[in-house]
Amino acid sequence: MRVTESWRQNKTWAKYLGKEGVVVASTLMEVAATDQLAFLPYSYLVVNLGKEKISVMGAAGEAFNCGDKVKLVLRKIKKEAQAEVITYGLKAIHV
Amino acid sequence: MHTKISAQNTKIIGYYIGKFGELWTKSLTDLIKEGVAGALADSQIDPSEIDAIFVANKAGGSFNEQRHLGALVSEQFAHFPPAMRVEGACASGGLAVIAAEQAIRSGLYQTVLVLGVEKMTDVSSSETSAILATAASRDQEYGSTFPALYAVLANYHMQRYGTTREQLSSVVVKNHHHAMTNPAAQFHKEFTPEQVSSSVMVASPLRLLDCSPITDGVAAVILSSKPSARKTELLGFGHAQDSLALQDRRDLSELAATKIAASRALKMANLSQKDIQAAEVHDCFSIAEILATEDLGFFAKGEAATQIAAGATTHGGQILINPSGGLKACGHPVGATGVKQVAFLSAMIENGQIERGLTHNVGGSGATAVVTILGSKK
Repeated sequence: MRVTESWRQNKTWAKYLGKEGVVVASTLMEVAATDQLAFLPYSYLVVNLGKEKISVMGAAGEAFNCGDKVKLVLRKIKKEAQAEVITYGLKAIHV
Repeated sequence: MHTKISAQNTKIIGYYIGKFGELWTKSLTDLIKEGVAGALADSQIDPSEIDAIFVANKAGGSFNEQRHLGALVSEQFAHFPPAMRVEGACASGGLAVIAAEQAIRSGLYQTVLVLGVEKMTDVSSSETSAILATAASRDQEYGSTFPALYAVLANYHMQRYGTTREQLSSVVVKNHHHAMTNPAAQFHKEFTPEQVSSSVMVASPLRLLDCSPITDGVAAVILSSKPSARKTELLGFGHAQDSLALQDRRDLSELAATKIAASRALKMANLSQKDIQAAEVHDCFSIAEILATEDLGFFAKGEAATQIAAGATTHGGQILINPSGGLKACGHPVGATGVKQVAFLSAMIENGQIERGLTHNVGGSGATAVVTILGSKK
């Protein structure tokens, strides 16, 4: 994620941080694109928050099943080329 | 919508499918030259008859640092016909075909070359994953890959309809078997269900052998409204869209754009699913063929996996699905795939193997779908 994208997205964090929801569908990824290699294995989830759904990465190394209750928290997204500017994004953890 | 202007259907008067694979010795330009020459040779028309060109390519700018592909293809001709690139992720090829068809139906052009090309193997696999992932929603699907998005759909389908690991494998086994007789296919190798089910995990439940490969390749067709002895006509087409991100879909057990595109195409052709003898469908992953054959209306929702495993979609079955081997075994040079589908079924029609066929080309995780109906008049 580019620093500029992280900056734009942080304006939505307040809307989602701490929100709880239910996993609609998920997968545990063992192959990822360049930027996410350090997180492997990680889950990718569609979470129903009630009034809307959101797609998020899961906490590293955790598997999630349909129906699991989760909470959205902040995660650090490190990119080697941006070592001086640390970006953040959302992730889901088990409640 | 889809008002027919011209009195007669456009014909496919030439087609070419280059060998798909890891083509180390061929550049993007080499593939373009091959596709142009191949389609012209098959059509036996003079190159000056090409009125316009539509080029299907997803990511030449990223894979090859080459953009402006319209000009690159046009310069293969002495008269520099007008050319433009069409991009709709993995549906680029299908979109280019229907863009050409619309241009012909408008009366603007009579004979149009559609060339699909992708040169994917010059970058690492993680770079490839990153480039392909740009077809997902950048704002809403951070961290996903296409295997992951289709794995989410697979898990949902398995939970809702009881689709099994073995049924996913049956799609792969069948398509690799079909590819054995396709000389252009990337793979001429058969697999057992056990080999598929025990291959390396990519994104659960999808394993390496559930995934279509990274492929270099070119395919081209020439469409014309001029009288021709060729048999294959473009009888109908449909194009539909859905949300880019999975989270905004109404139902994760279907690709709604496919259903709408199929309905529009069949209506234009005045045909039903029962009239189709063979289909090239977008099996970028094993689950994608199951979803496609349900959403296209060949099987009821939740029944395709059982039918495929029982042999209903191979030679002698209810309908022949992916006789080329599909994206899975023939290969998936992204921009070329939709064009290859049309070219392959055109060849089957010309050779008298079928009378009517359907192509189904999907962009992303289902945000774009294109369906065409090909056939010869009895």
